[in-house]
Order: sequence, then structure tokens, then C-alpha cells
Amino acid sequence: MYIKTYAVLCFILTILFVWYFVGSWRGYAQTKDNHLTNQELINEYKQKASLEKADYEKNKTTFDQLQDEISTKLKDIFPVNDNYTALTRNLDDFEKELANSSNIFEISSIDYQSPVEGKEYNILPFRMNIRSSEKNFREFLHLIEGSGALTDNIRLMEISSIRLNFENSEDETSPDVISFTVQINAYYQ
Amino acid sequence: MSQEDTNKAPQADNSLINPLDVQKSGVAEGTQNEVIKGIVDAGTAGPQEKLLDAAPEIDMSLLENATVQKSPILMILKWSSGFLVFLLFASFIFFNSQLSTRLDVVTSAVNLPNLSQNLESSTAEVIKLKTDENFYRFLQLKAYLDLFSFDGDAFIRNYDSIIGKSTSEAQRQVAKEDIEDVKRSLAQSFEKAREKIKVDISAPLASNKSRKDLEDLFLKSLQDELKAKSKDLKKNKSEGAQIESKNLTHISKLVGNKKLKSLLLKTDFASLSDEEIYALVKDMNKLVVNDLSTIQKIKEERVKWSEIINQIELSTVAVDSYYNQKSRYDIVGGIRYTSYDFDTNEKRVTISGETKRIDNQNFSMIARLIDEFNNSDLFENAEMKTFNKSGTFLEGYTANLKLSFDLDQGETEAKKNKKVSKK
Repeated sequence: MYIKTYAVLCFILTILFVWYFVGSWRGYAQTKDNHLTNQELINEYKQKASLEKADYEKNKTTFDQLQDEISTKLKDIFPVNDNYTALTRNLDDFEKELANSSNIFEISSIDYQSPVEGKEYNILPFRMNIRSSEKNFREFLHLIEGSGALTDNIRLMEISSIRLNFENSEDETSPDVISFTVQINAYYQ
Repeated sequence: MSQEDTNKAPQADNSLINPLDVQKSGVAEGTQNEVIKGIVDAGTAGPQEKLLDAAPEIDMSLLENATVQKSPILMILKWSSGFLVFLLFASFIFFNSQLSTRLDVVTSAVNLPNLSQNLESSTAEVIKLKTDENFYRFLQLKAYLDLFSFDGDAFIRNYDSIIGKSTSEAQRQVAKEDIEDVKRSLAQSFEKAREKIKVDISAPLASNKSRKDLEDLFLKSLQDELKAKSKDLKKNKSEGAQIESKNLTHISKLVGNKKLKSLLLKTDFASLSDEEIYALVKDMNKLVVNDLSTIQKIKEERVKWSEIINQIELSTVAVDSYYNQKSRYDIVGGIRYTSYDFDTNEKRVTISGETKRIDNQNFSMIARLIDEFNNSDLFENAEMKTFNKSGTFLEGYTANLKLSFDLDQGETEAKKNKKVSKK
């Protein structure tokens, strides 16, 4: 009877052992393979990372020069702050450029409003009252529409509304004078 | 059975001898013990015979050399069971020490390496190294895309000069020369950006994770690295550090940008015409986030009021051929504007003025003007619902004009680009 009992016990233990060992060994072998694969990847990527870093370091001077050039241009065109004093000088430069004895261009007022913050950029709205000849009015529109070019130092702006009145002169030879109020958005970072 | 039978003690079989009777045979009758005898008397007194001989004496010395007979099979089975239990226990200990952290206390005490922990740390090492590689690669990608945007701005300006109707011939010639240099630079930065973006962001980690999960893992790792570095730089208040911090934020928007990757990989820059390069630059600016692309987006959304005013004049001249000739207005009449009201937010224009006619056809003139505006590419929904005039048959009539119309939606740089690409 004891023999039978022990025989059955041996059999059960054998089954248990084989089942547990085989199952666990598979997991162990897989984990070991994975670890070996990772060791190979570590060697490979150590090399790749240092090559990529070396590539970047080699070109860093060029990249930094480009960054500096862009930053310099953006200081006037798309500055970090609203920089309204520089903008005011820009607008005075417009008046200087456009006004002459035969074609008037007079900025009578500039009124800056509260900045508006956005996701990618911020806006400084302002309003101007101007008296101008028709020719200079169109020139003024072109200046605003062309603002923000990287070749110029003119602040990036956009006209959001214009209200203008023609002071129609009867004299064919004298140019019509336009009085207009223009609402402009000046952009910054 | 009767009541008397139940009260009477049972009588024993006389042939049987009760040992108690034998012992009690010496007791004289008629004594007080008779009662006792009567109690214990089983009535079995008979001939006294000994059945058994004297009990044998056991010789213990014989047992001293006696051994139990052992079964070999049983021994084997016992030993096997014990061995199997030991094996089971040992393999349990081994696999748990290698594949889990349950026995960390023991393994660390005896300095036994844990395979699962080694795998974890090697996996983390691979992720870190690949993230480092990705980081430097994306720094370069951003620089090449910035260069592309920078040259792209010059390309757009030159191209606009070449196709612009108001450009002088000299300006057009200069623009044509410049554009060739810019194109070469654009091609170089485009190819370099393509080389950087085509590299797989993930590593072939030995893992059960799917390809997509692995990619997400490496994307997240790179994003976290960029965020952490940007945050560190932000603490430094210097301008250079702030710009660097912002650049890293821009780079994080390039990571995982599938549309940008697809555009860079699918486009053969060398085979593009100038028009197609123009469109490509605009498309790239929409997908790339940097200051230059932001500026370009703002420019594209700008309304060109000078063109609006030009079109108003053209539409007016189509109705009043003497428009803007002051002397003619008083003689033959016509249209004269007194004010414009342009609103970018509403995309709406209101014109005020008056019409003067000698032949009292003011309302027809205004109606033709409304039709002209509606037929133009730039305007829609032109209307004026109230007409009134005053004057005399001899001196002519003057009618007030207050006309509103909408800008044709999308008449911005973006719409103009469509027209360019259609040419």
C-alpha cells in the first residue's frame, strides 16, 4: 500500500515539476534573449547617438549664425515685446517718406490700445487719424500690406478697418485729400 | 414473560465453571457470606479443571538480532518523492529570483543578479540612447526647416515681384536672378530636412509591444526630454535662453508630425516648377511651427485693401466712364464717393456717395453699380435697398448712394495663391 501511495505521489510531483519548469523556463529563456538583444541595441545606439551629436556639433556654428540672423531681423519685424516706441518711430518714418509739398501725409494722432494675447502671437492694436492725398493713401496701404518682409525693418502689421472721407476739391489740378481713421494690428511674439 | 420472571436473576448453565465459584469453594455455608455468595453465585460450580498451561516466558534476547525486512522499491519511491519536492522548491526559488522581485531581499543579500531587473534596465538604457539620438536629429531638422522658411520668404517675395503687374522690368529682372540662388538653397535645406525626418523614431526593442505602441513610447520619451530641457532653460531669464526654450517648444511640435513627414518624403523637389515651389513653401509654413512660418501665416490672412480699392474703381468706371474726372461730374454727372468703411473682421465694405444724372436715370446707374460689384471676383452680396433722389428735370437729379457688400470669402493671399497655382 505504501508503495502505491508513494508511486502516485511521485507521479503527481513529476507532472507538477515538469509543468512548472517548462513554463517558467520559456519565460526565462525569452527574458534572457530580450536582454541580449537589448545589449546589442545599446552598443548600436551608443554609436548612433554619438554620431548624430557629432553631426549637430559640426553644423552648430552655421545653425547659430542663422538663428542670430533671424533673431536680428525679428527684433524689428516680430519683436518679443510690443515695442510700441520703435513702432511709433516706424510710423513717423512713413510720414517722412510720403509727405511732400504736393502730396500731403499727416498723422494727426496715434492711439495704442490694450494688447491682445494669442497662442502663436500677440497683437498690439492702435488707431491713427491721417490726412493724406489719394496717392499717398495708396502708398500707405502698400507699406502696411508689405510690412513684415525680412529684407525691411518694418513691423509686421495688418489693417483691420479703415474709415475714410473724401474732401473732394473742385479744382481739377489739386489732389483730393482723404481724411481717414485706420485701425491697425501690429504683431509681436 | 411474567412479572416474577423479570424479577428473578438469570440462572447460569451448570456445565460451565465460573472461576469465582472455584475461589469461593472454601467458604463455609451458613455464614454471613452466604448472602455474598448468593449474589456472586452463578450456580456454575462444577469440576475444577485447568484449561491452559502456564503462560510461556518470552526470551527478549532473541529480538535483539531481529531486523525488519525493507522494500527497495519503496525506498526508491521515497527518495524520488523527496528529490522531486526539492527540485520543485529549488526551481520555484530560482525562477522567482530571476523573473520577479518577490525575492529581492534574498538576491540582493547574496549579490545574485535578477534577470528581469537587468532586462528593465537594459530597456531603459536603449530608450535613453535612442531618445538622445532623436534629440540631436530633431535639433538639426528644426535648423534645416528654419533655413527653408528663411529662404522661402525670399522666394515668395521674388516670385511675387516676377508675376506682379505693377513691378517694373528692372525689379523683375533682379527678382529672376535672385530666385535661382534661393531655389538652390531651398533644395539643399529640403533634402537635408528629408534625410533627418525619414529616420525611424523608434528602436526595435525586444518587447511584446506592437509597432505602434513602441513608436508612441519613443515619441513620448522625446517629448518629455524636450519639455524638461525647455523648462530648465525658461528659468534662465537671459534672452538667449528664452529663445532656446522657445525653439525646443517648436521642436516638440515637429515630433510626430505625420503630415510634415509625408510632405517631405513624397515631394521630389528637383522636379518642381517655380509655381509648385511657391505652393510647397506655403504648405510647409502651415505645417512647421516657427516664427517665420507664423509671420507667413499672418501675411497670408491679410486683406489687400489696395486691391479692393482698385476693384471698386474698376467696377465704378465700368458704370461711369467719367469717374474721378471732377470737371465732368458737374456737367454730365456720374458717381462720386464721399466715404468708405472697410472692416476686416466682418469682411464687409460700405461705400457712401452720390450719383448725379441729367437724364434722371440715377436709380438705374446705382442698380448697374450693384450688379458690377456682384459680378466681380472680389465682392459678393452687394446691396442697397433704399433709393431716393432729389432735383429737377432741368438741373438734373442727385441720388444718395450707400452701398454695402462683402468681400468674397477667402480673398486673401490664400485665394491669390490658388489663382497663381491655376496659371
